[in-house]
Amino acid sequence: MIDLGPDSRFREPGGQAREDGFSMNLETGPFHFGRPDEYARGKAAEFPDEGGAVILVLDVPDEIVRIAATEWFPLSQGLVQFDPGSGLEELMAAWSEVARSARIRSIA
Amino acid sequence: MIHSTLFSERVRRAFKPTPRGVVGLVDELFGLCGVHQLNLRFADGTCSVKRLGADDADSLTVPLPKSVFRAALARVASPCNDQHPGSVTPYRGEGEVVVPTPPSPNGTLPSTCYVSFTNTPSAQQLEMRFSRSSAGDRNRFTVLLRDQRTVTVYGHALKYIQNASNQTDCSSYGILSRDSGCEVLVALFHASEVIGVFSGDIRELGESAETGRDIQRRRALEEGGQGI
Repeated sequence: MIDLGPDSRFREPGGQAREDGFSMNLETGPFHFGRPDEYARGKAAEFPDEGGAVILVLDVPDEIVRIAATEWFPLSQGLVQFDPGSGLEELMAAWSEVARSARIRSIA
Repeated sequence: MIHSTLFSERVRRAFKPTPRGVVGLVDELFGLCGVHQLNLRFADGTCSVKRLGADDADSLTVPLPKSVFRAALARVASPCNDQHPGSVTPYRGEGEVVVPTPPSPNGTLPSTCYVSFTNTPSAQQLEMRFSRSSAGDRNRFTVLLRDQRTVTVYGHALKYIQNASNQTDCSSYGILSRDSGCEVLVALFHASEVIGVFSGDIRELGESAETGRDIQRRRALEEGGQGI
């Protein structure tokens, strides 16, 4: 994912092909939708063959984050939802730059 | 007085975006759950909302981005893990959520709500029910229907309601709940579809192949309005 960027047509095991978005959380929170480490552990529990739980930390330019903010996803709630038409295209266009900032945090 | 706020109005109000985004939506749903037990499903760009026990034909549909519905499910899952770490995954789970105290001193929101959800790429649904411990001073009404369904409703009173505008129409049985000082109709059953309405649980009466519920149903059918 660091090399290629978010794949809006990614199919999770058992899932169906779809155009879907990509969500992140502001590093500073708030974490109204679960803390990233909890979320990662939950995903790893659901898909045990995918290498375990990690957190991917990225520096996304503010202007792209602002595009992702909508009436349903104000930045005040901490979740940044990159949907088609709401920042996903801009994020993918800037991915090569964004990926240079990538840090991977492993979770015990 | 029976408050005229319709279920559909409350649902549409819940799904109206506010500055609190998805967090506000989920808070509204928990508030709604204090009066109506809910089943929500997402498909084809719309969220269908219906009261538990209602027919699919009675569900309301609200246009909604898929990411909003999935975020709402994640929001529901978060307090489950706060209260019992690791009890749910982002993809599925069930648990009880403590609902914050309502601002109104007369509010009848439950203190806890039982939730069950699926949040996978191919299926998204949420069920919200009163927790048994959250019924407060409300009674538990068990409604036996002629099509073999049994519906549980929490409320304060049972009311026989005649259709004043159409005397030829069969009447209905309503369950009332107090909400902010008003009586709200939380469930309505066409009288012709009801076998009986019982306050409390239907106890299992014996060990025979005919269960206690079957016996209650048979007696109710034999005796007409027994239990209502």
